[in-house]
Amino acid sequence: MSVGTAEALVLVLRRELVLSFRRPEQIIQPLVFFLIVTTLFPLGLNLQISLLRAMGPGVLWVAALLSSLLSLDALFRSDADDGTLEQLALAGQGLYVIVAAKTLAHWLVSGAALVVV
Amino acid sequence: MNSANDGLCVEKVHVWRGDRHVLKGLSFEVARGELLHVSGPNGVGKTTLLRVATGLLRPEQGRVSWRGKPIASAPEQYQSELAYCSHEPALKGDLSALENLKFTVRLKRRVDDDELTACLQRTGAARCAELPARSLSAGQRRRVAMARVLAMQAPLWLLDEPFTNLDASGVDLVSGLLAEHIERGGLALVVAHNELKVAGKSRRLALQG
Repeated sequence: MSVGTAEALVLVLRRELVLSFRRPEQIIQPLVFFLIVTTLFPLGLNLQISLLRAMGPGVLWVAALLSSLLSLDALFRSDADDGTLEQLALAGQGLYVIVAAKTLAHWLVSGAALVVV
Repeated sequence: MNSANDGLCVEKVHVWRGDRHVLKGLSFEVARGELLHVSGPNGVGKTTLLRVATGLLRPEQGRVSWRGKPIASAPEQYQSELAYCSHEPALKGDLSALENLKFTVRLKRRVDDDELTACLQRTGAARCAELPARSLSAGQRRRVAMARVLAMQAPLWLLDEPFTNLDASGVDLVSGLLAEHIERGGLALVVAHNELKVAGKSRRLALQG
């Protein structure tokens, strides 16, 4: 009774989501950072409205990029440190399934949340 | 059928870690129904050897084969037939013992909660099933890791220091599980410092620095 690729993908995705929601600070911290950068930027510079309008999208992108860096570290490091990454790698499912599921879960809890904000 | 075609075969394996030549042309075989106890001083390459046997580490020279085929030719097939327990129990602290088992064993085989709970019961960790792994003692974590090995129902067990942190009854339990495993025709490669008291066919490989 071997386990199919789709089933394995869903299982790893669920694992990642459960783990993320058990540590909500990992989701909230990048969002708060994003909000702080985007609100402090105009306050700090005291620019004209027209200039702010022109700079706005750029600032948003850079802030989003920086805040996503904050959560990037958690993607593989904690699993590598506690040895669970080895267990996943030896699950007989191929690394691409594990990496795809982990990346998708990471995007859902950091990228998608950022998009919503 | 000879053992080379039926079990695990390691041939002239060489591994370097940086400048250090850790494994120098090591060869051995483990046949069905046999246990190989790997011992040796710290840093001699026991864990490296086990990682080579899992396929996690590729040797610079030499070959590892399983049932007559090199493991590199079908790594996923090989991995689905092995249960590996590293020297750290590899549990997520935020997940309960049962969840830890679910999220790893179910990648290998379809198994329901009752069976996983039965495995925890077998290793004396049933009381820990719903507790987060972070709150368990080192010995309990080891028992949960052993329950995972059991639940995988794999023919090949690769265990790194499975007796660490276990009390006397835990050591007897793991020895009993190993004896049962090889009696059923399973294979085991066990890295351990202490003497193994496992009934059945077992050999010892002492690595020297």
